[in-house]
Amino acid sequence: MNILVPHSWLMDFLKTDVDFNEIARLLTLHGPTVESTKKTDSDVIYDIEVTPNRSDLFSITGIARETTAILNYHGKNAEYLPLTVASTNQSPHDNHQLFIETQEQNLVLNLMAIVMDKAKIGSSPEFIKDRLEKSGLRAINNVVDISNYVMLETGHPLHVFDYDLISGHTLTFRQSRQGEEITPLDGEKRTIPENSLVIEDANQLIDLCGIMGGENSGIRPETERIVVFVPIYNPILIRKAFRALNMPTPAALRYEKGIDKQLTKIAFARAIELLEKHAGAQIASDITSWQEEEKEASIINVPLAQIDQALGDKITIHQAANALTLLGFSVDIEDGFSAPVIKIKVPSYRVGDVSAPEDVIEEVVRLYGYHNLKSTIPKGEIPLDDLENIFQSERNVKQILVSRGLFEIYSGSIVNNSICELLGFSEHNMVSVQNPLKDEARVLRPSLLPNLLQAVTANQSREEVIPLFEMERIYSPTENLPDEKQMITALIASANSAASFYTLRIIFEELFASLNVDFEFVRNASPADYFVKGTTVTFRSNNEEIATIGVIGANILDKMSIKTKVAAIIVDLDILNKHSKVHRTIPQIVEHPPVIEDLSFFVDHEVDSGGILTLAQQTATKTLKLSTVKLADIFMDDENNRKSISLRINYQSESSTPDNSAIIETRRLIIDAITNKYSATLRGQL
Amino acid sequence: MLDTRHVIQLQLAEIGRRGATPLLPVEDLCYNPAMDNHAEKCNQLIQNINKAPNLKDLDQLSLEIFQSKNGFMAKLLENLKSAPPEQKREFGQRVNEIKTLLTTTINQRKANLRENAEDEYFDVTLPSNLSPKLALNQAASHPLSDTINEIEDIFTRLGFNRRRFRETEWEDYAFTKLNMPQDHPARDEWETFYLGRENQVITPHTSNGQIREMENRQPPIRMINISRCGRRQEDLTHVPTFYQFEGLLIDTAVSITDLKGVLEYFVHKYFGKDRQIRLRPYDFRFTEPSFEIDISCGVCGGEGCRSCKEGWMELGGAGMVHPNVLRQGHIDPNIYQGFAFGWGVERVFAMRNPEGALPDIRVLYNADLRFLRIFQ
Repeated sequence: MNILVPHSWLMDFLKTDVDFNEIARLLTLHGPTVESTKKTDSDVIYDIEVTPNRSDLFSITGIARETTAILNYHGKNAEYLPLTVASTNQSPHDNHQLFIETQEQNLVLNLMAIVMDKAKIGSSPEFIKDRLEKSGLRAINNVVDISNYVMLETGHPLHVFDYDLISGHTLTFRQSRQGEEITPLDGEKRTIPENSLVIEDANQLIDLCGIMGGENSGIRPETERIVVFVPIYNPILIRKAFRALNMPTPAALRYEKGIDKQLTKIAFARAIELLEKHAGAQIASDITSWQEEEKEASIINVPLAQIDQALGDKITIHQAANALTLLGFSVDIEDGFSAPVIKIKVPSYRVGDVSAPEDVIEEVVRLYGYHNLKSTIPKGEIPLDDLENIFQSERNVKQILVSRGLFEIYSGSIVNNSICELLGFSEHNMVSVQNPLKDEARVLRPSLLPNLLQAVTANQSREEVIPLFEMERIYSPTENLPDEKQMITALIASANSAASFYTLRIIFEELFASLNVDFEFVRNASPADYFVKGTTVTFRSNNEEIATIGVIGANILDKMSIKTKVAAIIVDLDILNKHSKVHRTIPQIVEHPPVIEDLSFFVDHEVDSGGILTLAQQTATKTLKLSTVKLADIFMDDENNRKSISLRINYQSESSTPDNSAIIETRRLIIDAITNKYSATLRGQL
Repeated sequence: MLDTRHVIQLQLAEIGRRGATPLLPVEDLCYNPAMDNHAEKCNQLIQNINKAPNLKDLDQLSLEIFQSKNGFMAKLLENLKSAPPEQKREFGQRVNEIKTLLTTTINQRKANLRENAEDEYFDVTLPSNLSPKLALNQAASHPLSDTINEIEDIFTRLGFNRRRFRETEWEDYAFTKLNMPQDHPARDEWETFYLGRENQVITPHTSNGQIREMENRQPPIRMINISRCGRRQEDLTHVPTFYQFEGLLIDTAVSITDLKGVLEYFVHKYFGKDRQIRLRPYDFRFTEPSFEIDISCGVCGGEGCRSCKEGWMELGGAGMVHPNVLRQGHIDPNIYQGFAFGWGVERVFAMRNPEGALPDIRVLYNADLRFLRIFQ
């Protein structure tokens, strides 16, 4: 959270000759970050980011105290001038009754309250208005402004009620019940989250504690009698309520971080002082005061050696003690024989964030200055990497796919439900997100396909061919944490299904080959719903499915307004890695020439040419081990609903150029196998 | 001449067998002069049905034929009323048959559209040397992949081992074991995505990997965990799921100067030798002390400009591992210390742009080919 600090206000509590630029620089390096400084006509405003652990810095006085310590440590002239309040020794000139009760303990940790009368509501003096506005608050009227002014100055929020609007002059703290409503000072009626801290008078709710007062008990132009109310609330209750209501008011944000209990009496006295001076109010009741007894601050022991260890340097015990003293810790040095120890007591305003030796070390080191530390390369032993390097193989795979023409994309893990359902994933097979950013996207992706298809939709107006892939995790629910599986999914969108399909298939055949994966591909008769049945193929290695490639169904493309055809492939990266081999077996290079011949067959139009090729290859190598077969030509004889397939066979044996009888035998085996299995006829004479 | 009814039946049979356009035209029934060209119209409709490019258009067409007041069927039925009484029965029968013909054609077309690609049979097994191919140029790897690789390479030179941990995680690992007790306000700042199952989240940072790595092995530990995280935020500088890289070093005698040295090494390698780093005090629950790391602005060289804050750019958080976190990882804080840092991959990529940080990092996640081609 950021606070705005006007330099002129800061100087009420800090006497120094250091200029604002230097103050900003040193604060940033050693304390809270000054994000910017803004000059106005006669002032400078610091915009300071205060981390949530430093509740003591959400005020002008807190920043002044911290700045003093930092300036002093670095040898600059600076003196902290604590807020002093002229004591109101006047006794109340009247005794208005005020009844304050609580229904439970632990709702209110500290409280001071008093009734004042004869208040004259009007506008605030210029300096108050000016300072509030520079700090980002709007001036309203003198009484309200004073309560805000005291909050900014001390860090302790407070509230002022109109005494005459509190029915029965009774204030009861309690936790809200379900469905209760209140209209706070901003005039917007709200339902209060259950168990929020509220104040009720004899009739109704009048305060949303720690967040905003009720409209029904606020200051009016005609208000004369007021209640000055300075409480510390249970921070957890305030936090829950303001988060649920989305009302991060300056008071709520300060209460959430915790308020120093020592501050209550200071803020109380300061408010009375200013109300007397600038609103003409006079005290008119006894003081109500609930104060918890102060606990004795515990002592933290910090060995000097531990500080040196963190610093990577030597620091004298006096340097360390000096830093801590300047920051308000009480310090005792136990100068042990060889191991000096610093014993410290934490001041009340730091008990929230300093409780262990590490916290104390941080204080010393930050004053010393992180920027003053050396830079070293760690000296210890380098641990052996005992895991398989999957990252290197992922890198290779990406490189190959990119070199073949597929663009890599990254996309979100949380995806659109209706697209997943369109692709056939059902709700109970997906991991759901309870609090999504968008209602329509509330599942973790069960597949990489939804985003890739959406990418086609998004790009299609500019591109004729869209070749994409993503390598990422997909999620499925289990009894335990969701299963996270690393996948590759790729697609090519173009006007032609077959061309997209072949291009994609060849890219992945080349990928698998370069990873030394032995694979075969077989038709997949029951593919996932999003694939068209007749044109889906699965790649297998040792009977494990590595990948499935197919054409995306027209109804899906239609619903996603995709105007092209799309072929896609889904690859299980774990299984691919399992079957890929880093080291290649290197065969002997054969020197003697093969005997080459073409054989042509007529087969039915719908026979798989790949099947024939595989069969020919397997058969040929039975007798002549090094033979190879490839497809030489293919043409369609549509009139007879058949096609002609020409195979080019390289007859090759291990020892020498194969002799005639071996070739005749091999040829016969090939012809028999093909004609039997595919009811093929051999074209021409042998 | 063939009887009309016979023709229709033949055509129905043909549609059933081939799923194709009727071969023969429907002949005119010629009962009424007003009906003159209804056969022609019917044939035209059948052609239109078979040409419908998608289901939506087909539905529209079917609506026009059957539901519209001035539609084809409405007109036919109107004519039926005015047919001579003795022919009404036969005429009625024919009208019914035409209706069946049209609905069958529509249904068949619907089925064809659904299984569209089945129409265009191709031999999926055709060997690659004869397959028609699209000519694709070399594409480009994604800049995030390149950035991740670079990060990995820089840190492996210092002996850090690459890791990737879970994205879906127990709340315990994402928060509690990292010294953020239940109800701690720090938990809100992360604006975490909660999953359907109790106590499961998308990890809001890579720091869950600290505990997981400590559970897996004994010190010395040097890991660089590059993983996906998620937070409920989307704007110019945030995407809901994103990448972070988290360094963790645990050993005896680790000092803040080691952290500084490692980060400086990274900054010099990744951003350039002329860039400086600055550590500012900060507050994280899982480190003590904690810092924000800034680097000197690459646009103005540290003078102060629109791209930076007074000459510095914020890089991310770091700190010395909190003893409670070490304890949660079953490591004795009296013997071992460590440091950790966790930064955004997108952020370091965006910050390296010489013109000042990328204006909108969402471009990294929306798969726009115009952006991806820049890296070709």
